[in-house]
Amino acid sequence: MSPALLETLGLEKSYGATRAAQDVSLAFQAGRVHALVGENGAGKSTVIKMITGLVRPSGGRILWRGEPVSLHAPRAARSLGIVAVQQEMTLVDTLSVARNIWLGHEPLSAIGTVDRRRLALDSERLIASMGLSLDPERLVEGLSIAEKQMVEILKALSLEPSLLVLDEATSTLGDREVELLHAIVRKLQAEGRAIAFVSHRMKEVFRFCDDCSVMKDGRVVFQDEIAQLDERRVIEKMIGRDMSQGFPAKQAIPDAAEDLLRVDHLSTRSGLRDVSFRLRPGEILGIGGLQGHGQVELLECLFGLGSATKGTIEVEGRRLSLRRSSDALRAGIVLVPEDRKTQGLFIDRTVEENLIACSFGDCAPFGFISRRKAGALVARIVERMKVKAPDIKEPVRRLSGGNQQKVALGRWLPSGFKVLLLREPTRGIDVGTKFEIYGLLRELAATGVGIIISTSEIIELVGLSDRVLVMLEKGISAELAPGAISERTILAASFGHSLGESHER
Amino acid sequence: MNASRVRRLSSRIPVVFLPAAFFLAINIALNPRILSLRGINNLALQTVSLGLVVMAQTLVVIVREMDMSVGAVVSMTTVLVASTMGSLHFLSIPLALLVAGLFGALSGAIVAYAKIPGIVVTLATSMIIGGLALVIMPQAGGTIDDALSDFVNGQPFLVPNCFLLLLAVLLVWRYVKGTRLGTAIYATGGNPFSAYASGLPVAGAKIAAYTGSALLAAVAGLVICGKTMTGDATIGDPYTLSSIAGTVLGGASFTGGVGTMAGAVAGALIIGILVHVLFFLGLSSHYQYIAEGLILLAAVTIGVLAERRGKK
Repeated sequence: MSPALLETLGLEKSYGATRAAQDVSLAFQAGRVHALVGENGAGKSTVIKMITGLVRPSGGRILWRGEPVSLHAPRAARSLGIVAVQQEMTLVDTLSVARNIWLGHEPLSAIGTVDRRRLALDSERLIASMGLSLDPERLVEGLSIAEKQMVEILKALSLEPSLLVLDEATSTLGDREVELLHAIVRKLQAEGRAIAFVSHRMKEVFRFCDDCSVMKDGRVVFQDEIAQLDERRVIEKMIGRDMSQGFPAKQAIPDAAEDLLRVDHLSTRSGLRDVSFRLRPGEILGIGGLQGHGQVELLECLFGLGSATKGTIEVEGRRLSLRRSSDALRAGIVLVPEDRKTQGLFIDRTVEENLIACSFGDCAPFGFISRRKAGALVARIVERMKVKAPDIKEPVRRLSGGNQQKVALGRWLPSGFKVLLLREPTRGIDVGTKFEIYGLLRELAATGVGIIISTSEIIELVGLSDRVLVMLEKGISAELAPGAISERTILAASFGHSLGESHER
Repeated sequence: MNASRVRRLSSRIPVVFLPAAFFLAINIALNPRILSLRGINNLALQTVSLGLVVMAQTLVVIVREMDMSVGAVVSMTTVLVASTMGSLHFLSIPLALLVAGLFGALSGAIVAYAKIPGIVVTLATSMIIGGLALVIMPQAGGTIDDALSDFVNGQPFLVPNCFLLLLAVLLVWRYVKGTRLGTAIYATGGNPFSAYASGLPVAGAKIAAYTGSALLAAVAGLVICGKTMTGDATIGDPYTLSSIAGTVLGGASFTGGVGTMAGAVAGALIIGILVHVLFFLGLSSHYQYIAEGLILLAAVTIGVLAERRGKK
């Protein structure tokens, strides 16, 4: 057999005493898609960063077509044809789509300036060849997250990579874009290129990939061909245990129960049209649908961030006028946003400070924070939410994604909220912690709180929700009763098809 | 062409030219003589040095940094030229440019490699440079060759030489902006991680921006020498704050990646004309600071409100 396109031998990376990766030996073959899976913090990103020259290994070797190479800077990796679509957004907002795609390797004219004509032509050709429609002259600033991700992928493709690394590239894409990406990956594969596919989403790992390597605690613990594996087996290898316990048991809500939250014929300036639904105490209501069909607008409106043009919102029978977030908070509605790093938490402040941020009044009776009261409050929340932090004086940034999410959730606990809104509550959180969070949410619901979860992970809707609303074109296309929630019914309603078993509006 | 093309073109013309036109109109109403070539020449002379330092600041702001040393570099240049022109003649000009360029490159290298915020680094270097200038020339003085003054104030062609100087800088920038270095400068300001991950020379872009900034400030110093005929170790001091004001007025963003040199010139023009208006109103130059501050606030507020409206 010919040598692998890229092979790592005993690759290692330490940060001080922490070993982020050790003894990592992987082989990426031309024409194959190799999945790298593992929980958050398992070391996948570290390995990817070493392969793409963003981080220098502390030990081990990297072979390119059988020859040892040194990848000391992104430029060195690029010149070999190793290109990554990074997990973090790497686009320059202030530049156009075309400038971003060709950033760093623009076509140049004879006098060394960027050849704008060719830039425009090449961009249009590339965009069209991938079956996309995007104006190359648009500023990246104005694009949606999914569009940005596609630009990110185009940027990588423009380098005609021999080894393309997709690091969580599908996590921000809607179903349509995932299909497009799937076609692109197949095309690259047919051209004999290698693809490294890092993902949390088992479904895509099994659709896209040929080989699979599982990482845990910085090591590669398992390798095999996808054809020999099933989803359950891979997940077990990732979390190192059986996941048969799965989701917490659902709650049967009596139909006669009083409404906690009632929304009637709500339309908003942001485009929602005629949305009606109700939420009962103790219920977890899932909101599904393809990306960009009004889920964001609905939650924003309930949190006072969008103005209603028609319709009513009631909590416990009292009609609300939600004009700003403080109105929502007063009515007992709280939001845990999608991006906890920038919207949900004070990421550089300590766990303690974050936890008391929403209940200053309780800890600071005379305007000064009482150490004793704050300490008691924090201890209570940490215990209840099972926050794992080495020290509550640690900045939240240092915690894992799952623990950050627990802090984002826990800081609302003292407020005694009635309705909890969550967007993508487990994005970027490893599988083990995901189930812990599901359990916590179920416990919260059991205390009589109503929970609304907007998520793009269908498995989450199916496993966790008591009822599901599916949104389509900024309205509600279906409300699925407990017996009718399945991947099939949710998908059908997302695309606007009707199925016998769903209760149509 | 299509509508988006038109929109893009119109967004390229800095909105700040409107207030500039407004102040110019007041100015003309107060003093019609300004329309004479001589009047324009006067205004140009007063605005050119400011225009150069605003461009210097804008260049650094585009890479998401700040340069607090423009004023000190201006002073240092006047001092170096005035103290060496007697012996070195015109060699003192390249000497002054070289010294400024070295200081700029040094600041840039510290910012880029030690990853210290530029505002802190240049605050320190500005004290060092300003102090050195005072050591070299504690009192204003020295000699400036008449030829420099003749060049700066001259008008052999239709327009004053000063304008040609600005035009030359704009042309050079137009070229640089088109090159990969220009791309690196804008991308570094817009998103440093992205620029690095795309293989662009992020450190190079910062060093280039600071070096360019110091060189532009030095050219401003030469223009000032030509006007005042002396070297003065404190003459540049007020320019640092004015350069920041002009940069904001010129539409550059402190979050980086946004800014044009034409905008910088417009920003300088607003301040320049404002000073003129105040002068003809018979107000002391102290009012200049108050007026500058008010205009700065107004411009920023209007800009933010307009953007908010545009997003809705």
